[in-house]
Amino acid sequence: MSENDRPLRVMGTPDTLTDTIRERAENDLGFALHVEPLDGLALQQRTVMNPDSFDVLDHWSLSTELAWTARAIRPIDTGAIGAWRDVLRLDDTHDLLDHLKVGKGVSPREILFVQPDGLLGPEPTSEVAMMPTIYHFDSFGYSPSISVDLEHGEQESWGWMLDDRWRGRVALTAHPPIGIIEMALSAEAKGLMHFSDVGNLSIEEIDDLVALLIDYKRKRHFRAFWEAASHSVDLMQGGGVLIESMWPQAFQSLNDLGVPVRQAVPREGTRAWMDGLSVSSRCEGLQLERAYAFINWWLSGWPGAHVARFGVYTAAPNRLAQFLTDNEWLYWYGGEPASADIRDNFGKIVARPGEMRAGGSFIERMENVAVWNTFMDEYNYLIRRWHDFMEA
Amino acid sequence: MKRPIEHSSETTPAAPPPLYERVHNGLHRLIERQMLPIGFVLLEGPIADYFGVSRVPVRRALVELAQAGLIHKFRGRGYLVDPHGSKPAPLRIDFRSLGLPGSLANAWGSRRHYTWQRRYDDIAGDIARCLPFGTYRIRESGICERYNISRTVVREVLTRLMTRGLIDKDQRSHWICGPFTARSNDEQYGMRMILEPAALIEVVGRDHRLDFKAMLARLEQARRQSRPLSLKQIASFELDLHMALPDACTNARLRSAIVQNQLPLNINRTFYSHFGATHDEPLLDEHEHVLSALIAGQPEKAAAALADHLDAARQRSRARLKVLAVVAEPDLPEFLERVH
Repeated sequence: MSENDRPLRVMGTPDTLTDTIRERAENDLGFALHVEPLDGLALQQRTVMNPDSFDVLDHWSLSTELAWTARAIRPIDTGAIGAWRDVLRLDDTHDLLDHLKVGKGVSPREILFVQPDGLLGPEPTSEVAMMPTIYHFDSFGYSPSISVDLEHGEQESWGWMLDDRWRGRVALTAHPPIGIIEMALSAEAKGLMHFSDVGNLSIEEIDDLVALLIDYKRKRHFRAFWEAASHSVDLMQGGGVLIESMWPQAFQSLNDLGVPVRQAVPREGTRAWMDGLSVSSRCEGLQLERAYAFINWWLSGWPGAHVARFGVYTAAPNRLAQFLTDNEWLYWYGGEPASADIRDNFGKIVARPGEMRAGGSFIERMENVAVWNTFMDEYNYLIRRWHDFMEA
Repeated sequence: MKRPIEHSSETTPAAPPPLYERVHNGLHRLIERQMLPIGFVLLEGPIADYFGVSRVPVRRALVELAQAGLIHKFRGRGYLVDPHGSKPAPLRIDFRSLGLPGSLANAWGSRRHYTWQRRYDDIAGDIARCLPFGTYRIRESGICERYNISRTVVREVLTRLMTRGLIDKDQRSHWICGPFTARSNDEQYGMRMILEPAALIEVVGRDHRLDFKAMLARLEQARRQSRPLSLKQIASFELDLHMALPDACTNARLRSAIVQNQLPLNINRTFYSHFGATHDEPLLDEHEHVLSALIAGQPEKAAAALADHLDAARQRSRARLKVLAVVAEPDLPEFLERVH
């Protein structure tokens, strides 16, 4: 196969490596993509151990730190990214980079820029380790049927995930960096534990939290632990689960299936995340040019509008004008009531006029972050204790 | 029928190694720690005097060291100390004038080797490898089986490893080790930042045998190469700055406190063994700053540069530990039983 015919190998999160996105990219870019969906720990392991097995990596911002330390990825020259001036900027008064300071844990900004000493840091330079593409503010999902158990005026809270009222009807993500944050927020909200920094647990705090979770597990509090987001859909659809960890696409899927579900807006704030693209340290020549072309394509507008209809935000919102209607922009980004039907990418109606999405505008949601998805300092310890919990 | 009684050598101290081996080991370490200057001419007589042996074992030790490439024959009598093959000019000075303490000959060359000493490094190595991967219980009986040694010997080794800070005992008196955490990393580097600069000041303040120029030359040679640094090279830089230098300190308590806080070196070794090194590791610059200041006769500046290096290394080691979180646990000997 000549170099020209070799597809660009993109490895990463299944959510953004869909057939629709791949086909559109191939069509727009004029070269083939070989996509390999892989998630969580499996993706992190492949990234650090086999950086020659991909050209472009579509991954969680927190993984950037691991990939960079293991020298699996190379710096991206922001000068070669056309949309760079629009990345995480809305207008002169809204530099979204500054908003990334809200919330505990390691915000994506803190590990975005390549600093002069070769480490990653928050000070802007001309090189980034990951080009941000999408981000969101997650919480948990619940069935509206639980309202019979709620007290009058009871506010949504992370504490619900460890609430005895729904023992045996709760599902949790099995991904350790995410699951631990959700459970820490929950234990704190329920008043079961207090953490000095919920975004960076100490050894003792990890031990205490894992002991608490094992206790809950033995009391059969958790109905299931899910790896793939599609599993969370099944659990809510007919798996007897009423409250669970949930990612944006799962809400969309349940909506398509006609299963009633609500995204909580917990009083404690949300668990925020960002995804982005990195380039393998082994990528060079034509493939490197194509990797840059692919990154530029991701920020060009269509992909951002496509993911917006899943309820996820793009890193370059200014590029959406010609791809989203005003109604769509105000509904998805503005958090305002729909003025006409809002449809998803498959034409299904997700909101009727007057309906609005939970959590307010994207700026308001940025201000309401409790914790960013983070590899905590003691992650090496945490991941092993998490396995103890999974195996208990 | 009565089973034959096995007369193993484990319960009694092992037979001392042959004399030539003791001399060989002693000279090897003197060269490694640069206590014998490059180009120094080694003659049989003075070495035999120093180690308190006859010339015959010295001759054999010298032949073996020459085969290993640490010393070289030259036109004159004797051998030249030349571990890097740089063909230095012969340096003919009296062995005794080097002022090497006789205790070194005893400690490295002539002391009897007990069974525990022969297995100490192996067992320490096994344990160091598992540290980043969790908490492990160490089964004495498992070590007995693996190395075919008695409980007495195993306990001797483990007690010494506990003194070194590598392992501990839990409340039920089980031997345990790990996990090596971000906190242990920060604490140990924090101690090293206090101790190692202090040792440096103490060492350079008096007569010592360390050849800082040779250490710097090794760094510069590595910097000129385009291939990535080998693990061996990195180990030799660490040996120069973090072992040979504090080892030259006369305060035994300071020396032992430093050794007790050097576990993070294992994390870096584990990391490099998985991910390799580049040709331009930051430690090259940082070590160079320390050595240049030492050569320029500026101990305070060198001590500050050493503290800066350790602080930067602390952060690198912390990031590397996080990467090891996604690396699968290596194959470990059966005597290590994972608790969590």
